[in-house]
Amino acid sequence: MRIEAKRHLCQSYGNCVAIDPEHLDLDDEGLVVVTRDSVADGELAAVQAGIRSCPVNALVLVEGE
Amino acid sequence: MPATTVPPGRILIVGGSIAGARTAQALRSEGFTGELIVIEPEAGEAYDRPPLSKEYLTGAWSRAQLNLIPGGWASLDATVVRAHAAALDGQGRQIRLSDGQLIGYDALVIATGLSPRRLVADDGEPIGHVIGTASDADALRHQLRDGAHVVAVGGGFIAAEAASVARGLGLPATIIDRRATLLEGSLGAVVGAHIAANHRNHGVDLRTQARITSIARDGSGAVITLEGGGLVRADVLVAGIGSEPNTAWLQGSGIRVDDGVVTDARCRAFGAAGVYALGDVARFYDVHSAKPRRVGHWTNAADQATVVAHNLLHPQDPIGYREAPYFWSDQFREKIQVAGHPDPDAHVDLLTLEGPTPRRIAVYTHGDDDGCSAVVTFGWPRGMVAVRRLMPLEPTTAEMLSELEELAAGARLVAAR
Repeated sequence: MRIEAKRHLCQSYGNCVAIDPEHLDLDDEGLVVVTRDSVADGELAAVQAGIRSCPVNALVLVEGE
Repeated sequence: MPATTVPPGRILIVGGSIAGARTAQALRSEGFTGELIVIEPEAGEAYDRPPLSKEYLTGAWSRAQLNLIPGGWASLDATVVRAHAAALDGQGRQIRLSDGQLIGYDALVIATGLSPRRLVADDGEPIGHVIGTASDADALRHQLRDGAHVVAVGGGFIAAEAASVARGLGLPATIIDRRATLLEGSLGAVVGAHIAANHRNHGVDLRTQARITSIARDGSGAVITLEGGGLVRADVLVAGIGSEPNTAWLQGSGIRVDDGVVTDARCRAFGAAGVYALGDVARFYDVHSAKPRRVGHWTNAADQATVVAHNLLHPQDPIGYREAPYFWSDQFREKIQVAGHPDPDAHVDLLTLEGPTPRRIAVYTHGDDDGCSAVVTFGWPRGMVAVRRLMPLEPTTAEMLSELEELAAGARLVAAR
């Protein structure tokens, strides 16, 4: 599994970074960037919580490496 | 086996907004395979409310863009019952709906939120708009045209955002506020004055320390009389005068209600077994301040949902809720973000950090130990991310500023792909 960010939806709330700083950050424009996209099995719950923390559903978990 | 040691078979969630929706999502995400029933009177999918006074009110966002659950309730295998909860029988573990239907549960999640207070005209009847539901926002948005003079009553975020939206649409806007500055109750006088000045710079007619003595109907609008005799004619009147927890249905249930549903730090209500409450309606025991607190912010509801879902599914290994306070507002195309507790008694520094883009922030310092109790950023989301990373470590203001100065001076970030 890996995380994909739909940057055009991002509203700079920053909730995802607060919950999952291992994978996500905001850039200078305040838009989400995936700093590490691969998700290890043990990280899945935390990653899903980070994804749920986005009010505009700008993050998705997709199959594949 | 005692009922408290096994996960429930049927979970009933009353309220299908952010608190209820995120609880349902977290339950499924944590592997709950039992029955999930949601009581929600509003039709349609769960939607996000903060944009109702922002992007949705301007017309920039559609209703579909407010959807909280990708795939909707159906994707969570949740049954949504479109009714109001009318009464709770905590001993019999069932609720009665407004249509008389009875629904039993093993565990109950109270997520009924708030209802906005309405203004009352001289004739004793409610007058003007509120912004609580999408329908409220629709009704208001349809009036924001043809040069209508928009008058917002209240000095909080709803009034400030409504005025900002009106000005953005080219409409004249007035705010009538009892206090000396905008947002004084939530952000204190220093930041309040800064925000008030911003409103005045954008053409808002800001009437502070103003008391309303009369609201007379005038066609579809109103004439408002202020103490001292000032008159304000409103084509569109908006109330931003606070809200009340939706707890009337819990009367006589034995559940402890005191300006919200009282819960412990694990989000459990008192007075009946298997009952949790979260979000705007809950007055939770805050381990940080060691006091019960009711918090009407998005992240509080979303974060508590994770705690409630965990505790429902792992009754032998419950976790506590520790608030990481954060909220935001959008005014005049600028994101105002707040982390921590902006105590009105704190010392507040309003600063500009130098860098490629100068960054305006406000830092709240509390007590004798230089402790940083809150930070407000203006149009600097990346700075707020750093603030939220530091805040749980209880930094001093000097530590917080040094981190933010470095960031403002210009560190770069590289994406994975």
